[in-house]
Amino acid sequence: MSDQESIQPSPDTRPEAARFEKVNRDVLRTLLPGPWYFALLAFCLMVFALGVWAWSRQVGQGLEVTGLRHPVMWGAYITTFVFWVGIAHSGTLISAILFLFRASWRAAISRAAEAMTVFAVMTAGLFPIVHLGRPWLFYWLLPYPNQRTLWVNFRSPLIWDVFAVGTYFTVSAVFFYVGLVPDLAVLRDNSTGWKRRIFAVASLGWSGSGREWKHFSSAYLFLAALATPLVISVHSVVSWDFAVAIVPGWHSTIFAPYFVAGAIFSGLAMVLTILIPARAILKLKDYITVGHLEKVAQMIIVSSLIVSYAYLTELFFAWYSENPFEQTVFLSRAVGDFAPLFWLMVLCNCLAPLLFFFKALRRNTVILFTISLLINVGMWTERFVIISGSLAREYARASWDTYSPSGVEWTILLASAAWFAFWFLLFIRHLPALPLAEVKESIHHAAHGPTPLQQEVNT
Amino acid sequence: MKGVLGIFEDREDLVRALKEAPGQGWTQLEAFSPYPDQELYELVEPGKSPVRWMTLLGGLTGGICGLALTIWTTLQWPLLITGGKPLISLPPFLVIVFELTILFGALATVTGFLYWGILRRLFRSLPYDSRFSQGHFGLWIECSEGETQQVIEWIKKTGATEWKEH
Repeated sequence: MSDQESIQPSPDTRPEAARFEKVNRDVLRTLLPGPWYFALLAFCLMVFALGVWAWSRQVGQGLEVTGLRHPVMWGAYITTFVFWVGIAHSGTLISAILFLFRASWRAAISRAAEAMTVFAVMTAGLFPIVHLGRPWLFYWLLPYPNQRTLWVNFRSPLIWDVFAVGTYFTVSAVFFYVGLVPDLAVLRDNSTGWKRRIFAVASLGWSGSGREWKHFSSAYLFLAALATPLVISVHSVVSWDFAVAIVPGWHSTIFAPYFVAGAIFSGLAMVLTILIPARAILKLKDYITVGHLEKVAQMIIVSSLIVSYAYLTELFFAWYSENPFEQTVFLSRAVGDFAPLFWLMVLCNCLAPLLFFFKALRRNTVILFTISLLINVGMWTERFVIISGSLAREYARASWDTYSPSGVEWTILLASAAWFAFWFLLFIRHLPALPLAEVKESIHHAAHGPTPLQQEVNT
Repeated sequence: MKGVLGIFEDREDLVRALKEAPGQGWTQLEAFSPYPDQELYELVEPGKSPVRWMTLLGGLTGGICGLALTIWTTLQWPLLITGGKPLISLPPFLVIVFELTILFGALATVTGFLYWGILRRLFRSLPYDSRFSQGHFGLWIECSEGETQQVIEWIKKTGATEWKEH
């Protein structure tokens, strides 16, 4: 079976109108929550509540309930912040960058990936606040007029972070919503009563007229064009939180591309982690095919190789610079307190994805799922090793120390995963998991080829 | 608004009808489709969407705001604690300028879409058929009351499976 065949839904000879209606039916069928769904939702809320309780202890007693001690003042919270921001990135890669590259196979997975982006940024956004000793003063990060005319320091990467992550959340949410409008109209036309009224408002009275589609397509294209440089800037800015500081192991010019590659790598793995069970449970295997998963696996190989190359470059920098502080940090990563985590990271991020070079393995959903989980673990570990591992070996030997997260920190991390899962579960049963209009468009083009106008645009 | 709404199962029939309708003297047309179809919307309203100008305008506004915000706030408290660098250090400020360019550009793009794509239509109140969001296509022809029979006769021949007078 060629790639093209494996990605398109099975050949269907019925008239197009009937096939389009089948797409609607197949996707709307997934929006019927059962008892298991509510049990899962309740479970996520419980775990999240546990996290809120742990956090309330931290607010009450101060950061002493965490494992954070001098010199390691950035630990599991900042690691997890970077982890979730990274997860978000592949959603934008799939929905915006692949859209600009006209990779039409992205249609089937783009909606889920976009939703993942929005929820991952919402999860990431919790951590800078959780990390604050006095979280009620978080608004000091914002430039607002105050009595002392004291403004934020725009030279600080932490302020860049506020702008980058804030912009990223707003733009991804808006992009997600605009793409959803025509599909909300499908939901409106297929529901009754109060649901219909809600969807009618949410779909902005969408009618599918040519003039609507014209401005929709234009807006979607420009949003994608804006989201593409944005996604690269966001993780670059996140990396500068570290690279701008003079901590050995952080202070490096490769950090921006290194972090962007890592972000896309981890995010693609998360796409697989979510989609493989989702397509089975929602019975969408005809739409999200093994061919789609294989394409994601191929992109994982590329990003994994870039990440591995960055690891080697870092080691080379340390060796070639003859800077004893850099060398100490990297040596301690490989053989010191953090060595087990370092080698776990190498195993998960550099070696495991190499298995995807074998076609049989990257088309096997069990293996895909297992490796995607390994990559998630590996990428969290990577950030942990970089962030805490470098701080623990900063310059003066007298201030060296080690760090391990406390129970409060682990509980809050777990709760953040529950928070992410909670939103994703809400999404998967209340909004179409596939972009209906785009799937219909790709069915049409598969049958008829591009229209003369599109050929003109492409040439 | 008076006119006839034809419903099509086949996209090609609709494209043909859209091309021929102006020749019959009917120029106020609208097509409905379940997915974005460039050929259709170019026939209904030729030319490029003005949304692009909103993107440009928003982006420029955002960039200028970013410059203004960083430079003005720095001048409000002009302490030279910058390690020998100038008070107005553009490289770090450019990060803020860039992010605000994107933010304003995106929000302006959506505003443009809401204005041209949504608001302008809400005031036209064209008829709608819920099959347009399923799999069918539609063609709306605006005409005077006397012409409706003529339009219906014509639309039958173009391959419409159903028609409604409004």
